[in-house]
Amino acid sequence: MKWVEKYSPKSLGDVLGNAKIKAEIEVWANKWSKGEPQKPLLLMGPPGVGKTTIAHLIGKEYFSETIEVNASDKRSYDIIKRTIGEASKTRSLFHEGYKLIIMDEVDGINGRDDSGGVRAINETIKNAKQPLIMMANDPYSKRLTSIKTKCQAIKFTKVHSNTINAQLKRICDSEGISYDPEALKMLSKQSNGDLRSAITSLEAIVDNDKNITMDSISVVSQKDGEQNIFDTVRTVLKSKNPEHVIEAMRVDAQPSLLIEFIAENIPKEYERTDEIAKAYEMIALADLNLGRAFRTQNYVYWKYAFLFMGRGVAASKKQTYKKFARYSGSSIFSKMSKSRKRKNLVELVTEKMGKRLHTSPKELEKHIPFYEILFEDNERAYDFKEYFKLDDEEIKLFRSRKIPASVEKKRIKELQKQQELEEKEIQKEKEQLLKNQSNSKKSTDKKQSKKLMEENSEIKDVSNTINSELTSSKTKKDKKSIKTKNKSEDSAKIIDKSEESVKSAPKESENKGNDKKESKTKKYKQTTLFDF
Amino acid sequence: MNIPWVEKYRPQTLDDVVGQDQIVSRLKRYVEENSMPNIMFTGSAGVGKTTCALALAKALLGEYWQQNFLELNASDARGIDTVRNEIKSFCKLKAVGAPFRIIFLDEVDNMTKDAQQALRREMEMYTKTSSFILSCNYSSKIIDPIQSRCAIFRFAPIKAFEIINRLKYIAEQEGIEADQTALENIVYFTQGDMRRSINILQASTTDDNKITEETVYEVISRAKPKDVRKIINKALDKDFLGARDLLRDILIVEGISGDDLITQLYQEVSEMSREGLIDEENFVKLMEYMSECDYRIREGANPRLQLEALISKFLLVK
Repeated sequence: MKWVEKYSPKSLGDVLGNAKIKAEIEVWANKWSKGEPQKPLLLMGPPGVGKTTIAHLIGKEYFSETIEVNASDKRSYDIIKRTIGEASKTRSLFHEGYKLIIMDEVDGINGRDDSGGVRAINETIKNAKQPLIMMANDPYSKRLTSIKTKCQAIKFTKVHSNTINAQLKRICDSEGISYDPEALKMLSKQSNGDLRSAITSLEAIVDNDKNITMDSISVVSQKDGEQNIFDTVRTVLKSKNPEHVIEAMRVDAQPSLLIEFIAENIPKEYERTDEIAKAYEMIALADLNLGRAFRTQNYVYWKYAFLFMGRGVAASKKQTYKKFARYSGSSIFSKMSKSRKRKNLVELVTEKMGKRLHTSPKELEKHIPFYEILFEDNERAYDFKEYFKLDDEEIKLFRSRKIPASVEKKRIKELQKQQELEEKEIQKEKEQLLKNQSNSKKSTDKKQSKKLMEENSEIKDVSNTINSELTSSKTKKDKKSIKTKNKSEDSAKIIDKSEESVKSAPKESENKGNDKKESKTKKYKQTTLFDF
Repeated sequence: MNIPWVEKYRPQTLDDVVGQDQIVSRLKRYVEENSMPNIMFTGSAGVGKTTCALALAKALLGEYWQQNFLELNASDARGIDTVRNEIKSFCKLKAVGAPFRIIFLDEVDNMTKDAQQALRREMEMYTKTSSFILSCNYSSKIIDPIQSRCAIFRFAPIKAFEIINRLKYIAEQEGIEADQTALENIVYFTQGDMRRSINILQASTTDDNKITEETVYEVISRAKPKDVRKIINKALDKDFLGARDLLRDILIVEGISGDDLITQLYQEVSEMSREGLIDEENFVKLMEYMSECDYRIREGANPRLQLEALISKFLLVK
């Protein structure tokens, strides 16, 4: 019998780690057994922390029967409906109480082969009269989003390495194995919070003499994970043996991450400037090939990328260094998170500006220093703010001071005046038009309607500049009325009407805005003349 | 009302477009013929691509140009969904009040491969109802099938005297006294980029409506990354870690783009060679690396890693 099974907990009390979560699940099970239906449980967390173990123990201790569907079964719509759907609707024949349904690895439901799987689960959740526990590794999986909201989601954390260490000791003791405590500690650490893999590794390294030493640890490779990247980096920078480098480069890591880690530590290991320059040349070449692979979607280039960042960098040194260099993760990540807040603001603002300026946000980012200067003047800052439709928070990108309220008030007044003047001019133009209209009264019907259309479009132009959104629908209505009333006398009324609609637009916005000041600025926003 | 001069003085007709004479005369032919093929504008920033596109659309579509014109730039979502839905439904409809409809896509080089593939089909499917104007900085980043469906116009940087004349015109309109040398300094710095030139012009204008060499200098020096010379000096002093850290600060924290920074490095190294700080042999060697680095960045490599590699070459200067 494998140790993983042999030493798996026999009751909920034996389960290690995640104590709080255990209690939460027991509360859930207790309510079910009292006959109070609960939302399904969704257990999420890395492998080997006890999700499946706990689910089965719950089934054993609180329910009459357990039905399990896991990734080894095909999980299409039909199959899920048949096995779980039916079971969830019926009560057990031979036992009293509920049947517990366990669905493992729901995030692994394959989009194509398990067609409709997620839909089936959703329907099951809706109709289920039975307790249901689902498990998933990746809490951010897209497949989970629709399920998550309907479940009580519980996140498992990694098991602490001390807890793992203690359990490994217990197993060694009961198996009669002599061990080097340091070796066990190392093994616990290497497992990276995965109790199952720690026990599996332990079983694998025990030799015939029932002995565990530091040497035996080196036999099992640790689980792939972030720590492993540093081993790769160490080999690339320390070794001159191509075979070792090739072996080390087999790490399971994104090449774009690996290249950062190697590049980061080149100047920490290599001392001669020509070595650093040569090694970095290799990094640049590797990056070039990664870019090509990405752009052409042709991953044959990856092999060159790996070759340059691995063997290329390794071969760049004249001799190997026998020193202890402290390697580190790339500083770009901490720098990036620092600049993220600003970046978000830049994105938000340049996007708004881009709409106005017909310019891409990326290009506008280069112009920020100029706008910083242009925003120094209070009045211009206010005008630009309105022009780009920025809010107070957003103009902080350009100036730290707020625009004084007095300047805002003054500016609003000035612009209103200006706007009134312009409105008067428009009024004059319309009157002029009306005169022309009455002069040409005796023209044919066709001509009249054509003229009407023209005028209408002029009215539309005027109203467009004042308020494009609100009035456009209204002028359309007016167009209709033109068609029904063909006589030219009506044209005056029509113009009046559209004028009304123009005037009513700001009024409407006033009604909408609760805040008086807000409505004022709104009114101004809608009526300024920005034509481009 | 203050509005950015770049927008206030954007030429509205093809006749007003500054520079690009040959391209403009070709575009005018399209207006005369009242039809146009699919077009691609390529060229660096601020040379008139968008202006030409807007002016051409207005000339071809006439009074109802806004209803028959769709502009999507990089700030709009332009994934495959947009191409399949929004653009498609716009293309399908017959133009009203205009001979056809025009779709203007800015920065096509930043669209995903998938979106470009979807676009390629639509460009040929709706030739009867719609024409496309695409614009990009580097045509090398655009899939071949799209390039082969377009008439490609390469925009050169605008000539210095043309920019100066335009700046003078704007200054006149705004009632500003502008020094000739001040304008020359602007143009020297912006290298044929009209948008940048006009922005600097507006930023250097003092409250009493004057532009002098000093005000221009102040604006330009604020737009320059300050630490470029420091990076070079640290690398020349063999402090690679220090140089690299500064470089990362400029690129990541300050958000300066890779191709901007390499231009700065180029200018700074040229300046140092003029000052006799770098001898001729080393200067040529550095430029050799720099040209390669520049090309790779434009080709789509990771600018930061390439620039770090470039900086490491400064360690070799004796």
